[in-house]
Amino acid sequence: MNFIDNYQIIVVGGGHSGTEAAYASAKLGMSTLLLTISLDSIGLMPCNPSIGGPAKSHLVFEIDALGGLMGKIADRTSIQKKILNRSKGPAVYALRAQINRFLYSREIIKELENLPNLDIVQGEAKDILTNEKGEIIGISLATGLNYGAKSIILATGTYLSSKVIIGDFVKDSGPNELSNSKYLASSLHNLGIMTHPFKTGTPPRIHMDSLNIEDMEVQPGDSKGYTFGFEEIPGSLPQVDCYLTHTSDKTKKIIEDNIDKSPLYSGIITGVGPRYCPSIEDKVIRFPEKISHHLFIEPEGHDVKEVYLQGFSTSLPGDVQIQMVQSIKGLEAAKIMKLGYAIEYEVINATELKLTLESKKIPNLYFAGQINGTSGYEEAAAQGLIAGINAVQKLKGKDPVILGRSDGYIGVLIDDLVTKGTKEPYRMFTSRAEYRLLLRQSNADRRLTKLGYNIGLISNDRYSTFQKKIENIDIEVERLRNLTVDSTNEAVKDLIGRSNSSTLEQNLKAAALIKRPEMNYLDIARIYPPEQNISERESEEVELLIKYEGYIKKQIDQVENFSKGEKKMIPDWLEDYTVIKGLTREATEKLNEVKPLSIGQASRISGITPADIQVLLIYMEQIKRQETDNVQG
Amino acid sequence: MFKNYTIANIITPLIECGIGIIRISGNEAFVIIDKMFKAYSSSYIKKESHKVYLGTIHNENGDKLDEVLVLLLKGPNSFTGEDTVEIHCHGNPFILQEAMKVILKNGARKSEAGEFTRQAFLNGKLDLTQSEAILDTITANNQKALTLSLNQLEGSLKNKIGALKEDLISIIAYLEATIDFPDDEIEESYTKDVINSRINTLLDEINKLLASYNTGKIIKEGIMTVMIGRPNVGKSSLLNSLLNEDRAIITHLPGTTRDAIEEQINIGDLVLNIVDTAGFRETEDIIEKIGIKKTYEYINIAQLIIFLIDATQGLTREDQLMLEHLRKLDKKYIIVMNKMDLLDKEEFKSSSDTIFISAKNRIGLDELKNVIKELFIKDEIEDYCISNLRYYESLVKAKSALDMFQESLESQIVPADLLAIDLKDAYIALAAITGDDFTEDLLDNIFSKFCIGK
Repeated sequence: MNFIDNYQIIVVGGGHSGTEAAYASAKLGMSTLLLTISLDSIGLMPCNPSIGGPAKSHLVFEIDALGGLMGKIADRTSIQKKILNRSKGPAVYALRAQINRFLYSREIIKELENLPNLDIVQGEAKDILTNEKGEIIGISLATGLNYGAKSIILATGTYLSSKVIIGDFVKDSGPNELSNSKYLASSLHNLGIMTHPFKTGTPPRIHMDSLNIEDMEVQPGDSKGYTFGFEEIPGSLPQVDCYLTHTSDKTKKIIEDNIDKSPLYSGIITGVGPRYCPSIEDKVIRFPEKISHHLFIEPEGHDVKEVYLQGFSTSLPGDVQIQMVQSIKGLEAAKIMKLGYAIEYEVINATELKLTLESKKIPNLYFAGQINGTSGYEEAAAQGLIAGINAVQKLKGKDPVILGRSDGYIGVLIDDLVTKGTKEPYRMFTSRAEYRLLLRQSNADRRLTKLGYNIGLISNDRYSTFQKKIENIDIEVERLRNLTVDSTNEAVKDLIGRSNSSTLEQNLKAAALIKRPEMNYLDIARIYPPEQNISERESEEVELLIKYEGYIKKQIDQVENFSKGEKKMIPDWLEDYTVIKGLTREATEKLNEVKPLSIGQASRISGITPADIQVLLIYMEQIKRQETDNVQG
Repeated sequence: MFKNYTIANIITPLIECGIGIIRISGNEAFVIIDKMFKAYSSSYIKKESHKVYLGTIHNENGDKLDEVLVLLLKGPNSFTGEDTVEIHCHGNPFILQEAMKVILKNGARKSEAGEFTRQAFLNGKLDLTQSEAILDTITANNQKALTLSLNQLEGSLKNKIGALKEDLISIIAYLEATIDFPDDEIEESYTKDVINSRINTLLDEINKLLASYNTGKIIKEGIMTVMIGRPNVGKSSLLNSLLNEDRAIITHLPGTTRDAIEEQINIGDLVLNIVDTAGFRETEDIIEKIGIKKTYEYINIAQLIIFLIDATQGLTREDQLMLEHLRKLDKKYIIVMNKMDLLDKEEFKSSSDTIFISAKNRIGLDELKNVIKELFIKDEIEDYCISNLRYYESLVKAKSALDMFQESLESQIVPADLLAIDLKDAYIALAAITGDDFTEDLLDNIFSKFCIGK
């Protein structure tokens, strides 16, 4: 085979998953090739122009804590920032940034172009090349060029054999008029990796000047300086507003009258779409009692006129879309720049993967992002990072990097995908994380930065700043636990009075005072200032660790309990579950498919009952006893 | 799955009666029966499942043991899910034991208690609640216990828990939807007051189930009853009178409560496990002292104390001391004045804790029974009352999580994400009874109730 070049790792796809994978790989010293269908569309945001939100923000913080790209680039290119769920508790505070999507893509390209060890090539991957032993040797392009590789990471997003659908118009295409990936799916099929269609969609884009924003509710940002990134560089772009408006009874009627033209209902679309991201026609049909649905106008940049109509995803025919859009309050004269569309694309079954995202069938072949059945930039980026790291670790002969469900949302995401698979495009929710009080965005660094440092993605400088931060927080929490508040102190009395708190009958510890709902850390720190300087983010974490101490402790206990199952490993020799007699056929099939690492993981496979787990445990115990008997006998 | 997992046992009581049945279950069951059974019909060679064959069984020397019916059941269409053979012999303990010897020699292992059910459970023929109910059925010693376990088997408990879970998850779904979809229009279907009243209802239901545990346990296991009194107040005659009422269902269980003799008596739906004790009195006799010490020990472990007093003698000093002792304890007791036949009966009226009877003449026994029933079964027993410790513990967990939730909700400061932790704990505790996936249940609920999405 004639290779143009030989790489250690080739990443296929330049979206949010592929770029993180390529970045990690090159950063960790591997000679890396990033292969993309369109060089200009690296880091493209083909759907909503925002990053973050509940659970997704947590993913971005974790990516950053491990040394990934997304957080800092989102900070740099944000045009509005907002903290969501402020009133709903420390576990679910979430940052969301509106992004100038053009600049985002540009900044990602800049980062990658300037990275040593990384080559970027425009071209469509055609075939995964293997030798007679079935080992990965490289990849061939549709143009006929071949590149050699030891490992390949596939991050094909929504491009794999994709088609765009608007009404009865169907076109083989990737998102945003980009070429799709025509050949790669059959290469996968030849390797024994099957695919099936998923579906998603996007709303129309409108020209800002054709809107009447007077009729809408302004949605400003509130946290310009708040960053995803640990390094807290907020970016310097002008900030913009979003707008809230509503569909009308007319919109509803237009949709109902034209529903027969929807490809969803006419049967053109067969792929499974996400329930949490339904098209507007889906919402109208499924919730007929709702006359009006709200939607948001989101700018695609501070210096562009194109705006995104969040909540109005549709694949109805173009003329119907125009009528629908113009029936919305404030959009009566709206000019559509791009029609909304549905897109169908091929995904694999993620239960084919190990927790490292490596294929179980083909060693050194990794899958990351939407090809694994997820949706969302953040979910994709998180997987790209983990696949990239693990591909490197394996080539370097190091231990795999696997995050557990109690380590981070990334752990929850990958464990869910690999253990349960997904029947619809998988999106992260905070409710998927059992231990979410411990998985706050505010402590992502404490959870993961040491790991990132050990892997080699976190610089020495950053690591020592991080250590200083953690130390600051811990010392301050300890100080407040021991500090006695003097009940006769005038400043204290004054504060208690102002806060409508109950009078102090006697001295008490500062921590106890902070635990009162009406009190906060900063007020107390003003009276009893700490020796060291405490930053705003540090003080947030200090307050939270004190106020929610009881709940945090409770979750730590739950994690300990949960870890028992995770630590009970299923031995390597147990490869074929059909030898275990008591299992139901369904359980045997599922266990053979997933090949769980631990009893804990096995118990999360859908369809595995407590009875199956018991059988499995009894079997493992039997074999263990037989072995001991043999040794003794 | 086990090397030797063909198990066998006699599954009918070892007493002289019409029929005795031996069950063999496991991969060797058909091989084992072949070695000892000669069928009259040649069609036996076909080994058709769910067919009965008449023939004879023999010991290893070829001597005929009995003429029997053999029922063949091929797995998985049998109770245990394994190949199963049932041999219907004549109900002679000797024959049954001889046949068992042959079966064990031929390679089966004698089953342990409940092992057939365990096999069925392991083979996926029963879920946890069902298999637990079957074990209850086997050990059921009265009609109510039997109905109870049969109901559990059909899932009435499962349905009840299911309804509680459904209520709970719709509240969680609301809280979680507001967290995960802050931009969406989540109708404020659950104000604080609504949530509070829904949780109160849930707690009521759980409390009812928990309360039913004691009833359920009492129904299943019987009431530990101790009969006390001075010597010769008529303890033995009362016991005999109660026993004579219903001879058929008395069992002697020697040794189960150390050296005492325990009698089982059915009173309607209840079973009393009665321990007769040595009479107490002030004494210097060492042996008697030991007996009296025992009496006090029994009182300590009893659930019901029947305190017999000789009505013709009134309260003696010893009686009074005992009464004071009883009153200090948090125990259910009944004072029974015996020998009322020797008194002018008209002037004595029984009250809720004092009953006048004549054990000898069987007067007042019904009244005594009614008082016992009232003491233990306050309400009509619900069909789904729980009798299983595992369920009980799960419900206790759910209850304490909900209590915690209400406390947090009341305090006004605990944010939604933390409130949800307690609700989720409660849900998971309930789901442990039936076995369900929390996240899937939750997301299904959110997406079916709220119109969500970008």
